[in-house]
Amino acid sequence: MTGAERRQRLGLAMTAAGAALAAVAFVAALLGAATLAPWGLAGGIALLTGGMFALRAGAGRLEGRVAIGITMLCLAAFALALTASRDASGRVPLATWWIAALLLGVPGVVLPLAWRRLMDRS
Amino acid sequence: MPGFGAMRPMLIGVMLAYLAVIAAVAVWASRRTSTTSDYFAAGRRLGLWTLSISSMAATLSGFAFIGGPGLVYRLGMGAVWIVLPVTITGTLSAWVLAEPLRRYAETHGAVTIPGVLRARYQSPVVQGVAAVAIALAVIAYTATNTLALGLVLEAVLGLDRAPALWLGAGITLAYSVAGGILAGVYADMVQGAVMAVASVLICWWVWAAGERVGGFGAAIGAADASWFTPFGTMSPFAAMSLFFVFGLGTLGQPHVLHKFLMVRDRAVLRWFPLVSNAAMLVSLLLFVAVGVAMRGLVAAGAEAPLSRPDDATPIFLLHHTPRLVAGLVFAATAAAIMSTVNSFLSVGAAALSRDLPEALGRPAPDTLTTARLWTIGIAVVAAIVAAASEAVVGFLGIFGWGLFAAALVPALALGLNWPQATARAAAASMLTGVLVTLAVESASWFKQVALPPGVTGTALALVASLCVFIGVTFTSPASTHA
Repeated sequence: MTGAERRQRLGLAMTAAGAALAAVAFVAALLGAATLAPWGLAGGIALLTGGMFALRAGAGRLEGRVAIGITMLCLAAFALALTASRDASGRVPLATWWIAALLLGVPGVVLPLAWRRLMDRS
Repeated sequence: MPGFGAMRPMLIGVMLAYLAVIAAVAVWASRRTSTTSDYFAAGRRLGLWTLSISSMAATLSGFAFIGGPGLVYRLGMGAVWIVLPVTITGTLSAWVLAEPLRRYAETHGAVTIPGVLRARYQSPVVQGVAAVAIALAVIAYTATNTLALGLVLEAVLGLDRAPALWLGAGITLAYSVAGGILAGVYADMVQGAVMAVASVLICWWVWAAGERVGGFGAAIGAADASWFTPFGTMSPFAAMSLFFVFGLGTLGQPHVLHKFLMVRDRAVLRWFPLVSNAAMLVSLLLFVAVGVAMRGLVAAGAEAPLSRPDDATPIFLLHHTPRLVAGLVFAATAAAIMSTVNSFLSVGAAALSRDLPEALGRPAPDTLTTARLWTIGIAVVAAIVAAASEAVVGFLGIFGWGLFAAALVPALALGLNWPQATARAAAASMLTGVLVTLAVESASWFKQVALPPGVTGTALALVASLCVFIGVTFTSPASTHA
């Protein structure tokens, strides 16, 4: 098995695990498991998004790195949101701005630049 | 919407100026539309700016300018989870879909999304199911947007509901029929520019309004501590469900993805995500800013609480901006709706005039007249539905976008990048998406089931169609055709 095939398998495994985790989260929500469901959905979204980046045919190292990066970024933002939401202090929570920066700022600039590199390379 | 009184002449003036520009674009495009490839794929000559701005304009409907600020006003920062995935999915759509779609357009001559799916899976069944799903969702979503455009024109021009609705449908139909998608993408350029300028301008008056009440943060924080927290007044699951649906669902919107079939060459895609992200973020400033401003003004006692959250944008414009800016934002709202409707008409007409007959083995005459007749047919049916009943439109509106997402995301986003994916999996996932969306949304609308917050028909259908696509591919032989 070549490196590209291994990375595509990783993408497929991440995507399948993400879809399964999201499905479990929705079933948990239907059953009223209010604590478990958001954590499951957070993991599901992160794996699905990262998996799709890695799934691109002939995936190379760049796709693999972006996939892992975007998964970690999403997980960090979601974990921060889920933790911070428990403490409604009455002030504008700093976590709100960190989440926006993680999910808007970083991918908004870094991902398009990674894409440009990918286009130049292929 | 609230009455406009003395502001009306200025609003009408700005609106007429905007419509005159759109008419000029339609005339220009109609002279350059001589084949169905021009009509459905803009002659495959889109460059970077046309692609990026027209994609943004087609993505953002009137919801971004009216419904969105209302949601922020009502739900706080939780509503922003609709906007947060924009920067990820902008690049994701380029990464996962733009290049394969462009390649299918070049190598197979595909000018429609169902055409690409047929080429990918070598299956007329997949093409047919995709065409039916797209036609259903297009009629539903076009009816919703036609009604929204009618409401804007009713408020701005002071017309009755029915003439306003038919006037809006007529204007959009005129330029769509005359110049097809070519008129659409260049009108989208004008419309996208109007939306971006309006969205940036409004921030200045939001800032000024905040200064007058001593800052929105303090006022809102004192009135409602949860409003500014990461999920606002929503449950964490409901907010994250918005991210899931609006993030991944974007990968199944044919009226936006269709534009990747029109690019001139692959070099156009190089800067597409960056330009597209910037355009989306600029145009969505209004979504967040006006919602925050109205919540802050109400919390500070400078405005009365809104009886309908959707009045957030009209009331802010009426009370806190000059007439010219208000006119521009209303023109931008009409622009957002018209650009979305035009794109829907194009993909709907293509599905019914080309894809469905091809899938049934009876290709229809591939003429401009056929394409134009189907465009008129869809627009008229949608306008009749919109004029007949607001309740029916409300019901249709909830599943239009979701139907696209649930039916098309797995077959496109996964299938175009996973060589082992089978036609049987594509057909099964599309049927699952359509049936689950219709069943759950209908049961929910008619109050047969009460779903927990965040568990929507769209979300359930999307996750179900993803699982079915992966599961059926793993369990069916590689050579399986549907």
